[in-house]
Amino acid sequence: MSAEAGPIRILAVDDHPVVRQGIAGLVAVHSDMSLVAEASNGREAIQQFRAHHPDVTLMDLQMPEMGGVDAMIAIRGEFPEARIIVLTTYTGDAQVLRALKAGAQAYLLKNSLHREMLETIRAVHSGKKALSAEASYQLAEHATDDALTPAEVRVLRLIAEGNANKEIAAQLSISEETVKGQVRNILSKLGANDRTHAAMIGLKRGIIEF
Amino acid sequence: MKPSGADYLNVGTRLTVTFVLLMTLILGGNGLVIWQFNLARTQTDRLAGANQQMIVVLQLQVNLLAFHQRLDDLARSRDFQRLVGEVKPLRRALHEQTQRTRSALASLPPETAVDPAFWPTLEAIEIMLPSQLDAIAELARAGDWAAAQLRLGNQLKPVETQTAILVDSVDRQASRDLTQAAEQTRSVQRRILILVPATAICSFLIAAFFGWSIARRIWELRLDERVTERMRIARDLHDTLLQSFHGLLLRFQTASELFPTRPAEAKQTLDSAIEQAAQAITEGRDAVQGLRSSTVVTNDLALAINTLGEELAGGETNPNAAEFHLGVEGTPRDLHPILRDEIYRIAGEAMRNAFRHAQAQRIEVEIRYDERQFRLRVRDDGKGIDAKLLNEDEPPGHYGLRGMRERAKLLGGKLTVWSEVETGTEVELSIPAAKGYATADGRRRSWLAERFAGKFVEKDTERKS
Repeated sequence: MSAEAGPIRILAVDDHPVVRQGIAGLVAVHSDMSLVAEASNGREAIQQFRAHHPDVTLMDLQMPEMGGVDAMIAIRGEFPEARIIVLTTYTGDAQVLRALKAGAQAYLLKNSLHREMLETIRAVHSGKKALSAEASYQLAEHATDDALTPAEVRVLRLIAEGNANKEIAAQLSISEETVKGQVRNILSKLGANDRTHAAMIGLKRGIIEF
Repeated sequence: MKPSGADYLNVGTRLTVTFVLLMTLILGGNGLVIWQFNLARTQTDRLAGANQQMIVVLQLQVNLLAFHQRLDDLARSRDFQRLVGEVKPLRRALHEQTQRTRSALASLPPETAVDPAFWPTLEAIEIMLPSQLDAIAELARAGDWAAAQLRLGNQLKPVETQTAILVDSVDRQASRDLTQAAEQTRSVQRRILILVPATAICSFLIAAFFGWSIARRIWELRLDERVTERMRIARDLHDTLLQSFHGLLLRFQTASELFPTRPAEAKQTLDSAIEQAAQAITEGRDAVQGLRSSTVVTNDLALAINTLGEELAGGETNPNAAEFHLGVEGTPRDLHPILRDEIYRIAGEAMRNAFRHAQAQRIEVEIRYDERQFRLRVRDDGKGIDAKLLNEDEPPGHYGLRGMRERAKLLGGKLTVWSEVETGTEVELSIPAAKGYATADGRRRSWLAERFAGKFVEKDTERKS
């Protein structure tokens, strides 16, 4: 992956064409990098990665078919040297953490793409890790919090979809009492006042997605 | 998103249990009160029976005494001819009296306990007195008046005594019945006095709890709806405005970096950014429009779709000046309001796609109310969509087909797209009658649930375009 000679070869993965066009435009201005491929979901990203072996991959997290985290895990499984920068609209410690665990070298918020993208691409290409200031702050803020268990995350997601305890119990094939207990844990772990508040916190921190 | 009717059918265990309890209490309380009245009636019947028995036995006694008196008089007159003449009518009168007594006893109310001594007494009168009459007549014929009188005294007295004892016994029984009945009636009265207010208070408390539960359920449903709606708005914003702005930011950055050295390219980039910004505004406006105008406001699916169609046909999103046409087939049926709103959103998206991307001459919407399903078709004669883009793998710039499919599925319906390049596109949304219509059947089934949820099914007024 040491392509000191040529420009940095980039794969852009995002389901929104406008964002990909924007990335392509900005990258085209700089001679030390070039966009070699695009993909609109995780599955396409894996195919394009195999075909082009890019030096750096810009990966959106929320995409139809297959999200960014799953795609990253697959790509890193096949190509452990792959360097991936995660792009996302939302800040949220859980999301940052998940992306880093899946093997991302950097985490960029889309609203700072225009300022930080080029530098981050260069930094990651030279082997550094990079977190945006906002993402680092989020991570630090919740570093000591009790994390939600996978079961609690599932319940929180169903709460956010507007389900009542009984419906959640039915969907997860567990008792309503268990759901009630999990909801209590979720409220206390997130410091939420009620279910709606918990859903909103979950979305804000990226524990669950839209 | 949970717009389906099933959610409103589900009123929760608490409400159901409370409702059943309330009904049981009202029915049970009234049943108990009616039972008390029945008890009181039984007592009255018993009293009436005792009184009748008393009357019967007194009549018997009086007649017996009169019979004795008459025979005594005849014996004293020592007139054989008169005696013989009177024996027959006396015997008949005696027979009639015992028959009357028997039938009177038989017609007493079933609860009345007939005194056990009654039957032996009657039998004694029936069997013994006629033979005594014959014997006395025989003695008189022989002229032995003294013996006849003696016989009268010896044989009739015991019967009279027996009758007198019977009268006494019946009298005592009657007064016992009276006391008991009075006692029982008083306790029935007391029970009614306790039962009625107790039932009323309990019913009131449970009804209050019931009302509170209904209010809570409505509040929960509203909250769910609000959360769902917020999620939808957030998703819409994420998919439209936010992404456009991210793209724009990158364009502006590109233009800014190009500007010092390559101003012509910078201008090009800026121009395309301006174009993109205008598109973003249109998208944002559509999203806001989607939030604002809905069938909840107009209460009429066809009217709402027609308004939107005319708006789109007249707007700048219609570069080809495509004609818009709306048709309604079948008798319009009632649709659940939330369902109707979702149908409107799906139709709106399909219509916007057709106006914006299809380059069509004519865009048609057909609403069809079939017996077995609701169907809505959006048809255009435009450039069509490449079959490749219609596949499961959603292409970039996918016109939101995936979202529409998902929404249709949530409604319990199905979204089908037919398209051929250069021929046009047809998007069909079909929802089975059972899920879509608020049918007479469905309404009967869910009447209670809908009242609980505070959702009333409004009528789609018939309208043809």
